Amino acid sequence: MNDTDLIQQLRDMRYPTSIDVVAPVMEQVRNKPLLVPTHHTVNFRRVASTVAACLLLAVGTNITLLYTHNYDESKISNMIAEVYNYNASYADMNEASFGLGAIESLY
Amino acid sequence: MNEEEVIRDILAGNVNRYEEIVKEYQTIVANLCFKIGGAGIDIAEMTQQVFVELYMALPRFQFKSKLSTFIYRLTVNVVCKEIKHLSRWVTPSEDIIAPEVPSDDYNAEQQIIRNEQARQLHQALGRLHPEQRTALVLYTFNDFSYNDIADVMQCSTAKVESLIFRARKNLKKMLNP
Repeated sequence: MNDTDLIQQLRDMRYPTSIDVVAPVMEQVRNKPLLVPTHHTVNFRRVASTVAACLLLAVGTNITLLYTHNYDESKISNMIAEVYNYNASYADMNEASFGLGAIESLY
Repeated sequence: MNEEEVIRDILAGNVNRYEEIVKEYQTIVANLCFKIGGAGIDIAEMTQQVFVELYMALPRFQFKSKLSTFIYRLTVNVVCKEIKHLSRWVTPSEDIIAPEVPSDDYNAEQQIIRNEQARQLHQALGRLHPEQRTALVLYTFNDFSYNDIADVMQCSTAKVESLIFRARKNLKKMLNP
């Protein structure tokens, strides 16, 4: 069998039985609701900034609550250190103390 | 059939129009399943599964490619998954279904010889590496271009060329030992 004949034979090859799957397919799909997506574009920058704002608000609220109800400078410093992802440097801690001073001045 | 109009109609809730798509493509899908999956799988069952999955995937169809390409890709995925599940590509047994090639161009004797050749070819096809077989089958299917095959198999055109080359070489080796 040469190359052309091989390709032709492959082209001619057919499933030998006639097929009709319309009825069983339709029976199945009628019971399946389609989830058609709506075409809203997601503005990832807006989503990210909203998430960041919520996070800051949550941290701020926690610090304020700590200050007003149970003032403990070390706890607040730790919390701020956590916000810095456990990598608070000496400078960061200074900044945190400065931040605490600012909070204190509000009250 | 205006495929885009039919699909939009289905997505809008007119499920009955899905019949048109099934009728149009069921024979093509069955043939593709048969050529890729061999006789080791239930072709009717597989064809049915392809159309149920196609229906569920319709909302993802973006009208950027042809519906036929989308259907072939889905068919290849469904058949490959099934074969992996069965851990075999084909059952190369003697009682494999011989594909009939009805043609007026041959007399009875020639027809018998061609059918025997077709049976041997089908068996040899089953011994090919899955990727090689899929690429070769698609190549001989509806005059697909290398780009179309690459699109269906989600690989590069160069890989498709290489797969087809190796598939032909291996097939010839098996058929002319």
